[in-house]
This record gives sequence, C-alpha cells and structure tokens, in this order.
Amino acid sequence: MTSTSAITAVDLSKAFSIPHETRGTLREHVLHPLRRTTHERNQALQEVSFEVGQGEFFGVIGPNGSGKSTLLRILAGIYAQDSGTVDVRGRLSPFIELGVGFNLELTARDNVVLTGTLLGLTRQQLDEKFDEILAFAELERFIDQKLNNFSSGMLLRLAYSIAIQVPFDILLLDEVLAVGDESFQEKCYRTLIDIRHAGKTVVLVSHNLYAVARLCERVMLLRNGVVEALGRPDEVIRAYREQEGTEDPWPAAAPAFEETKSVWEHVAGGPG
Amino acid sequence: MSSTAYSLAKPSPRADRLGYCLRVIRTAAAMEFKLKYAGSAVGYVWSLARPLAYFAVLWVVFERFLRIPGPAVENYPLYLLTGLVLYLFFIDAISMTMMSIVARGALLRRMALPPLLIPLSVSLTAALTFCVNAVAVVVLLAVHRVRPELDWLLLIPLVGELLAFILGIGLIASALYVRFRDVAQIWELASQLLIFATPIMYPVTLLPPRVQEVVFLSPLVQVIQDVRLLIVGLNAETETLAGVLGSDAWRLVPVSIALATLVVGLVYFRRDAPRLAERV
Ligand SMILES: Nc1ncnc2c1ncn2[C@@H]1O[C@H](COP(=O)(O)OP(=O)(O)OP(=O)(O)O)[C@@H](O)[C@H]1O
Ligand SMILES: [Mg+2]
Repeated sequence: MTSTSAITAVDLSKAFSIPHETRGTLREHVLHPLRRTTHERNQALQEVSFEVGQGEFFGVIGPNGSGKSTLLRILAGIYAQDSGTVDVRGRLSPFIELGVGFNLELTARDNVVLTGTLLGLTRQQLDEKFDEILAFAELERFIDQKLNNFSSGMLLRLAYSIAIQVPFDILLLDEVLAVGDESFQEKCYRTLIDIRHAGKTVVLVSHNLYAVARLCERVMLLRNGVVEALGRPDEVIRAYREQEGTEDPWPAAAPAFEETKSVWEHVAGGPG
Repeated sequence: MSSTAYSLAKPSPRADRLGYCLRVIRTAAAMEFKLKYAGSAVGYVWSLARPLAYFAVLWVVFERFLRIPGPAVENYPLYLLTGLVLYLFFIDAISMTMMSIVARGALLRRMALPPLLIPLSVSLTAALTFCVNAVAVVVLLAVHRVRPELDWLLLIPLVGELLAFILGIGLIASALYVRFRDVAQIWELASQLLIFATPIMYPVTLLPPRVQEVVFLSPLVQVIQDVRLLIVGLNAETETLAGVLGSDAWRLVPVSIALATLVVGLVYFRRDAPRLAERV
C-alpha cells in the first residue's frame, strides 16, 4: 500500500500547553524573567499512525475535543506536530474548512476574487470560472450584495462552489456538510463522488455519521487523541455508537435511503 | 524527529509559489483598502481627515500662539504637514501590522497560508493610505507654487527606507502581540511620546546639540528631514543629518538601522511562524 498512499502519518503527537494565567503580558515577562508560568500539557494527539491510499475516501470521527481538527491541521501544515512524521504525496487543498477568507463586509463578487486568490487561483482562472462558481452556488442574483446579508447556507454554497474550483489531489475537509439545505447537500455529495471518480483523495472529518457511512471507504475513530478504531465504516460507527450509548437518531428514516446506503456501489473500483 | 514532507506535483513549485504570494499580497491589500474606504469618495476624505485635523491644531497652536518655529522655518505649514504625514504613516502602518496576525487568526487556523503574507499585505495597505495622504502635501506644494525637481526622485528610496523600518518593527510587533497583548499598549504609549521626541512640529535646532546627534540616528527622523530638505527646503548646515553630525557618511547609520530592523523582523517572524496559528 505504501507505494500508492497519498498520506502516511507515523506516530503523530501534539500537545498544547495551557498557561495558567489568562494571558501573558510582556510586562510580566520583563519584570519577572525567572518566574516560569506554570503550564499544563493537554495531549491533543498521541502517537497517531495511519495511511490514506491514493484515491481513497477516508473518514475521521470522534467526540468533541478528540483531536480531529488538530490532526487535519497538522496534515495541512497549519500546526506543527511535536513528534512523528507526515508524508503527503500530491497537491493538498489549502483549506480545511469552507468559507475561509470570507470577509462579510465585502460583496460576494469581491469575496470570490479574494477567496479564490487565497486558494491559489490566478486572475485568469478566476475570470474564466467566475460564472460557473456563481451558477453552481445558484447565487447569481446576489453577486453585488455584501456577505453580511447572506444566510449561513448561502455562505456555505458560495464557499463550496469556490472550493471545488481549486486544483488539488488531496482534499481535507473539516465539518463542511453542516448547514446547507438538503438539495445543496445532495449536490455536495454528488461533487464529492465526482472528486472521487477523478482519482482524488479525500479526508473527511464529520459528526454526520450518516454522511460518513455513505461516503467513506474507511473510517478512523479518535478518542482523547488516540486512534481507537480504524476500519470499515459500519463497524467503526457501530463501535462508536455503542461506546457513546447513542443510537441512530433517525432509524425510521434509514430504510428510505437504503438504496443509496453506500454510494460506492455504483462506482467502478469502489469497495464491494 | 518530526518532519512533514510534501511532494508537490507541480512544474515549477518555486516560481508558482512566489507568484501565488504576490497575488495574495496584492489582492488582500486591495480589498483591505477598499474596505477601509467603503468604495466611496467620502472614504478618501475621511482618510485625510486625521492628518488634516492634527495639522490644523498644531499649526494654530505652534505658529499662531506659541510662535515656536520662528524665522528658523521658512514655510511652516509645508514643514509641519510633511512631517505629520510621514509620522502618521509610521505609526499607523506599525499599528495595523501589529494587529494583523491576531485579527486574522481564524483564517490562519483554517488555511495553510504562509503567515508572512498577512503582515506584508497589511503594510501594503498602509502604504496605499500613505499615498492618499501624500496628496495633501502635493496640494500644499501646488498652493505654494513649488516646482518639482529631478532630485525629488530621491523620495522613492527614502520612503523605501522608511517602509523597511516599518516592516521590521511591524513584523516583530505582530508576532509578539500574539503572545503578549500589552504590546499594543506599549506601542500606543511609544507613539504618543514619539510625536514629541521627533522634530515634527518644531525645528531640530530647538533640541540641545547632543540630543540632536542622537535623534538623527533614528531612521524616522533622518527620512523626515531628508524629505523636507528635498521638497520644503531646510538649512542644510543645521537641520540635516550631514550638517549636524558633520559628514554625509553618517547617513549610513540610520539606513543600516532600518535595514537591520527589517532583517531582524524577518528572522524573528519566521522563527515564530510555525506556531502562530495555534497561539492566536
Ligand atoms: N490552538 C490550540 N491551543 C490550545 N489547545 C488547543 C488548540 N487547538 C486545539 N486544542 C485542544 O486540543 C484538543 C483537541 O481539539 P480539536 O479541535 O482537535 O478537537 P475536535 O476533535 O476537532 O473537536 P470537535 O468535534 O469539537 O470539532 C482540545 O482539548 C482543544 O482544547
Ligand atoms: Mg473540530
């Protein structure tokens, strides 16, 4: 698997220190250079190892504060790990959450330019894709409105539409399917499937276990910064739900979606 | 024993990266500028309001009431406005740069963006604001029928030197501000003192000779006086660095201080850069 892995993480550890004063001041620092502020270590990740294959759809689940976002940020190079190695093969998408770079005081048009530039599009690419971005978001009418006046779902639509224009081989996504309405979520699922079709790798962090079960080929369960389970989505999710003592909140709804239970069933080369 | 390796499948990652950085700096600075002025003419007027208000107050107090500049300064309004516009550029650019990382913490935590791009684009916005404010000086020059001369081209390296000094201090302050929030108060205090410690509203000759020598080592003072020498006209014997310190070679000192500050700022910022996202 090593030769075809997109991400290889070995023994990743990360601790944050929590200073016991609310905020250090330079004054304190200068007046009492010898007094060490006491720090408590908060081990956010502990020797986390895993591999994500090229073209794989990989899910990460776990309770709040279990280290999922921290892990994604280390993979993206936003945080530096304390120890361990990350090997990434291919172009990473530069964002992990949607809507980064949005400025609510600017119009949608300016935001498309600003965010697109931050995500790596050239002026020319932006010009070419501008209409496509707005059409996908179905927000053409609001192009000259400030984002202030957008609903959170509209923001997500715009963000998502820009994000999928960015060239990448590996997509890291942290909780992105949360606020869109059903038709847009459906649209997102479809583009994610297209992304998979195109041979791209996706790491998806989500609390939406239904979406995780539907989209991912393998799922990793993190708890207190430790990998607790890694394997088939249904098994890992079942184990997670058992530990948490939760159940599928909409068991009655599940049968209605039975036919789409795993989207990979219609995807050539997907897991059987 | 920790490492992160990225193998990028790009034709020329280096050139690509530089192009990307320049695009981000330019676009972010333009948007910031747009925000500040809300795309309206009134916005530009507001930007000018601060230097002009300072100017009006100081002019009335110093020239009309205190008569401090006296005959030493030929064209006091022009002398004062030039000094003020440069001083405000210095203060405002450093304040904006200092806040820049903390203000964009959310972005830094969600995107693999080289943190350096943030203070760079913010300083560029400050430089654009300076250009807007410089229009006031141009207007005053026109009122006094001052003719532009070829040696005014020297204004470009002078402003460049000031920008290097600003960037150096701004980079250090922006990284420090992430950890120590009282850096903002310290800078606030320093900038209040600086307006009196720098010959902005009074002529340099008002200071004791010893103090003059020290003051001229500051790149801010040297730049302000050299700009005035070019466009306002000064007594080169008593009011410029060469006159006060005895030789033009002394100019190397403030210039070196400005450049050294930039280098130190870059090194310090780069050292802190990998931890900025998690600390903001
Ligand atoms: N920059 C930081 N500084 C200090 N502590 C941090 C920082 N980022 C995360 N932590 C801590 O690390 C732990 C893991 O946080 P993380 O955001 O990775 O959790 P998560 O699994 O994404 O949770 P959620 O499901 O709520 O999004 C938490 O205890 C959090 O307080
Ligand atoms: Mg999270």
